[in-house]
Amino acid sequence: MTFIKSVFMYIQKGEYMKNNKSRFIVILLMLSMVAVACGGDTAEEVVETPEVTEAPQETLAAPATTAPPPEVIVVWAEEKVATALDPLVGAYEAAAGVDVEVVVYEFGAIRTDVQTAGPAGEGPDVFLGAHDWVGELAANGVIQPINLSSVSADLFEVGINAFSYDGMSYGFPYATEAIAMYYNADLTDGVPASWDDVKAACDAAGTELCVGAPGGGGGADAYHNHPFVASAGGYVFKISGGFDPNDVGLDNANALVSAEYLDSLVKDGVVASTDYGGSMSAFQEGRSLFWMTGPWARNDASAVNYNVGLIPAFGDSPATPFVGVRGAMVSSFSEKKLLAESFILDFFATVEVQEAMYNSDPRLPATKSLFAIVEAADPVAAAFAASASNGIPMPNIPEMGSVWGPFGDALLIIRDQAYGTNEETGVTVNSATDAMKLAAEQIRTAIAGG
Amino acid sequence: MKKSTVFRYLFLAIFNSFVVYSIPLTITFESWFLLSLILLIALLVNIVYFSDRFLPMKWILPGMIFLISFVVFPAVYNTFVSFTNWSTGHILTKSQVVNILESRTFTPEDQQGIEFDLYVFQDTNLEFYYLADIDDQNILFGKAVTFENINDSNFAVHEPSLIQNGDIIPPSGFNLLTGKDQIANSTTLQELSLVIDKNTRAQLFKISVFGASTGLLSSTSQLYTFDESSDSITNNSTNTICMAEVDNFVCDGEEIDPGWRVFVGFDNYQKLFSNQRIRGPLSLVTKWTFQFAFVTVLLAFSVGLFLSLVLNKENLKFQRIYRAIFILPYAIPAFVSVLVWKGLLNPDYGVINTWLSPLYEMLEIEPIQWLKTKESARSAVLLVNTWLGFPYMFLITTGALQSIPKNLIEAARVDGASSLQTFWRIVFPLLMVSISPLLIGSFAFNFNNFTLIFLLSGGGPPVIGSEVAVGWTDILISFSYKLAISGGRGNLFGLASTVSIIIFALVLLISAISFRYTKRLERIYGNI
Amino acid sequence: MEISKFNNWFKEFGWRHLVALIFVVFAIYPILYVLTNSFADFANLTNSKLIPDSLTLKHYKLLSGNPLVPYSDWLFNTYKISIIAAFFNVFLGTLAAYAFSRLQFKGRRASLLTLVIVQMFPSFLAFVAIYLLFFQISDVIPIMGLGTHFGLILVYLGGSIGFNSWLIKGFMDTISPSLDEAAKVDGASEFQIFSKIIAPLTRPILIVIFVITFIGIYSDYILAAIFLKDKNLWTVAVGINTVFVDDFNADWGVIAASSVIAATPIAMLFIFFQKQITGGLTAGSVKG
Repeated sequence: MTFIKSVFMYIQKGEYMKNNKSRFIVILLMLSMVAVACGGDTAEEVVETPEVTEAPQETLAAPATTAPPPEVIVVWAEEKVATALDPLVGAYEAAAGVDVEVVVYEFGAIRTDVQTAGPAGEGPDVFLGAHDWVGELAANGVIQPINLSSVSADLFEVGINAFSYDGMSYGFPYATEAIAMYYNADLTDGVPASWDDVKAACDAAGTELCVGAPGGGGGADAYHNHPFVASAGGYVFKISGGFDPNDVGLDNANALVSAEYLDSLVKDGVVASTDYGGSMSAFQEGRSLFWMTGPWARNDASAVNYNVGLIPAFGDSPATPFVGVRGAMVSSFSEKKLLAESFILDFFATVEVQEAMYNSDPRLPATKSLFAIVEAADPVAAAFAASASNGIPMPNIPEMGSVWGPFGDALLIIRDQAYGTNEETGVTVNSATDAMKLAAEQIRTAIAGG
Repeated sequence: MKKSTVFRYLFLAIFNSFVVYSIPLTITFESWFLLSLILLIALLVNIVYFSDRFLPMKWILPGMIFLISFVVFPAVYNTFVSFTNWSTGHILTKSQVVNILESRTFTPEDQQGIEFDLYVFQDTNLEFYYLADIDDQNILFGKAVTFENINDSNFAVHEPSLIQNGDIIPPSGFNLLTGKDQIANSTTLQELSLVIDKNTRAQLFKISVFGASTGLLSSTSQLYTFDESSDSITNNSTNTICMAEVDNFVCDGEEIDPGWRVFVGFDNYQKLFSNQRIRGPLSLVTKWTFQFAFVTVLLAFSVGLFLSLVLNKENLKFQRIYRAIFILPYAIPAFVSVLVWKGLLNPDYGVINTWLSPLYEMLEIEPIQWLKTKESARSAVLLVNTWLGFPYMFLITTGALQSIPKNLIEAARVDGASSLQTFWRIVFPLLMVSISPLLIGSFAFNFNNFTLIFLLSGGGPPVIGSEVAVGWTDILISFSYKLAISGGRGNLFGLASTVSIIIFALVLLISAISFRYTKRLERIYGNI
Repeated sequence: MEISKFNNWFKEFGWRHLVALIFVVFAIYPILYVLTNSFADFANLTNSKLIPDSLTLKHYKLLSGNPLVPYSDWLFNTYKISIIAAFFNVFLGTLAAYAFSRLQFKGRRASLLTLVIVQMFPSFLAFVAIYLLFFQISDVIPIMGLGTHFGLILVYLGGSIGFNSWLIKGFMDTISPSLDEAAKVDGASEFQIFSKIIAPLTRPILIVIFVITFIGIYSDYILAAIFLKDKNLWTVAVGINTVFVDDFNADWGVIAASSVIAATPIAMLFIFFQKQITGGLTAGSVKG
């Protein structure tokens, strides 16, 4: 405050008028500097404006076509995908006369940066991301609908659905993944067909823990535990031409029955109270017979002699895991939307490219023809694919953001048997039913915009 | 002139030329944030360094420039955001939204799904022409025009002669473009359409370098048209008018995505304070946040100070090695060490419970289920944070202990004071004079220690019966993060900024009070 | 040793060693896990065993020779950025601290406090603001724009005054003003007093602050991730988080190895610098 006051006083008193001679020299000096800057500045300005030079004319017969400098397609992808994609784009660059710039981004950062950089004019043309981003990105107006009709014949339904929002398609699906059940092949022959038989299998094998699944041990994980609640008629959001945020099915009769069954499994010691790290080390060290997680863990699982089977069924209903789909999307702030779409549909979507991508970064293909190739060669991949075929895509609507917290917490309470009463609110959760009802309520209130 | 004055003026000259150089550029690029920042800095620098006065500012200004640019500016921006409705569906400006909506096309019912080969020609004037091979009766050729010229354009004409036996015969004077050529011109081509009839046009939708490009039919009208005077858009396929309401266009009672960002004043603050379901958890979380920050600083400081006193002895062997070991926890990235602790705290096989098992047996209690109950999770969080924080405290107190004049301590000894008395009466107060702001700073840091809570407990065992998902170890910032990402329709950045402003206000209050207190300390002990 | 001699030793030194050792275990045990995980074939930080079943050097090999993982570049970048930023941080902080300590002006304490408090603003959305600001800087002044080390270092300088200055000022306050007076009598300018007398005497605290700032900067992930998109320009934090951390799992072996590699020089540095920090201070100065 005092600084500002003294500045004012200083200017008022005109103290700067003293020492004229030295000031004069200084002002001269500064003016000359400024002149130099201005001179350099205008030269810079000329350089700054985009050049519209005529590139060397191609000598064709009849009218020559103008050849502007090569277009650049900017593609954002996460590390593993970028590494797989980078060597492949050379073919397209040569055939199309463009430059394809593949930029490596941390996966989560793609989702947020596309929305900050895009509107600021610094975003990508194409980016590779997860299908559950679509709702948020479409609602924010940052992605462009893509017409998939030319390639949809060879795509699985689940992939197409995953990228549909509000009746339009927003991405080309290229990989799907879902969890299944790893088992220790040295200790058992396979995964029992039904959860009722799992305990017997574990007793026979004599391991300390039976099924290690993330979502317990203080680490909430709704993604992994979805099958426990949603396989026999429960659901997060009802699917009716898209996901309906107004119909939450986590506390319908079927879901409650399933939740109580999970509770009994935990009480019987069938499902252990582990978080992701705990379930991983239990399986790696041979302390658990089964590990319920996804294809990304194959490397880690190879600490033991493992194999993969379907998650056991719940009575008559097969297990319904969440399916995650990866796809290529176009930013609505791209100035080369036609080019971006062509890049995806004409190049990225071809079986050759998809196969090369698979070889370098194996994920279950969303393309039928490639899938057939993979399935024949890799039985473990086939097992994951079979599991995914029973699954449903994670809801891609923005309201899903309100689900993970309450859903995960409710499952955590069941998995850790953390029932009790909250003295402050007076609410009691003494059973799985209570937990699920509470979660459904929390979700509904959040969505209603409380 | 003194040498220093010459330096000063020279530096100013260079600096100002730099400023003059950049200002026109900021205007060209419409970089308003940057422009205002540059002007502010230029003003300050010139005033401070041109004059012979303002001596203190000459020392402080260099650092302050960075503070203003990278701390104050984001804080101001944050405050600004808290007064907006920034959330999912509302991140763009209104003009961006209008652009996006107006660029959407729609296809009349009977034309949907019809794809066909589309060929592109160029004539001697470098104008583009399309040939749409829709079916045998419709091999349509015509000039490709921009959207504004659609109504003036002639309809495409059926020219079967152009395709013979699957080969394309360009008319004379026309050149057929290969896929590569089409790509080179793609930015122009994406704006062009071939007019088929009054209501239909064909557009290039996929350029193929390996085969024929594809076209699609769509309506000659765009899907939405914006009318500035009535502030509404018209949906041309259903012929409805959608008015702009606050931050969305609304058609038939339904909000159209995307919406835009708009200034909403104190709405967010109101929502926070009047929202019943948030209030309960909010007070719970606030209480714990204070407890957590305070206890954590107390513990880390006690351990750190204790250790630096223990090691503060001349001729102590291995002194340097001990000291180096004690800062190691500080040198390992937090996300690695917190995860390790999670493993150590595992109730079944973690090393903590293994070491404590004799104790459990002796007291005949069950092993503590770390991180699964309220008390154990809170204790775990405090324990791990002490481990993370004591090196910093150790480092600072070691440095600060050196600043206490040794002659003071000797004088006290000579006067017959015991070690304990020397410590409490002389060393400790002097230490507090220089360290207390750091304790306050550490308090502020831990008040917002998102990383630890998120990685170790994820907010902790869920609070049962809360209307909003919250955990027993959630602190204000992790709670506001949960609120922000779980808003009814996705993310609520505006609301999150509001919470962070409130957090800052709280921290400010505590700090102001604490600094008052330390002023007293300084007065008493500052002049020894 | 005779019992009384042992007793004396224990009273003077022994108990200190005992206490130190207990806390050494406390400090080091989790770090040992990191160390052993870096040699583990199937690394998992939440393992139940300290010594893994199968050992391997493959994580270290990955970090030292893989063209897809330019780890040595990342290390170099990290140290370069951290050292430069920490150095200038300390420099600017010391300048400001000198003003608050030695120069008399109204509102000294209040303004210092303001600086400290401003720094406490929760930077929840700060990175968005900085992102936007630097978009604009990239257009106008490309050498310090997004994607440059220069720009990143500048952002780190935002924290140079504030806490640092307070701590340094506190230290400076204990230097007797008679030193200043003596120098003035000899005809020294303000800046000379600063550079030749005051600053060297505050060296211990300067080094402490340098170390703290250095560690803070090299562990930073968020700001570095915003700025650096070119793989070869990444810092270790960005590189490790982008390449080795996935949705659910992460390559813990490599991450552990990286932590070990990055932390070792710091520990070495600290051993080396200790003399500077704890060396005799005001010995020889004029007693006030």
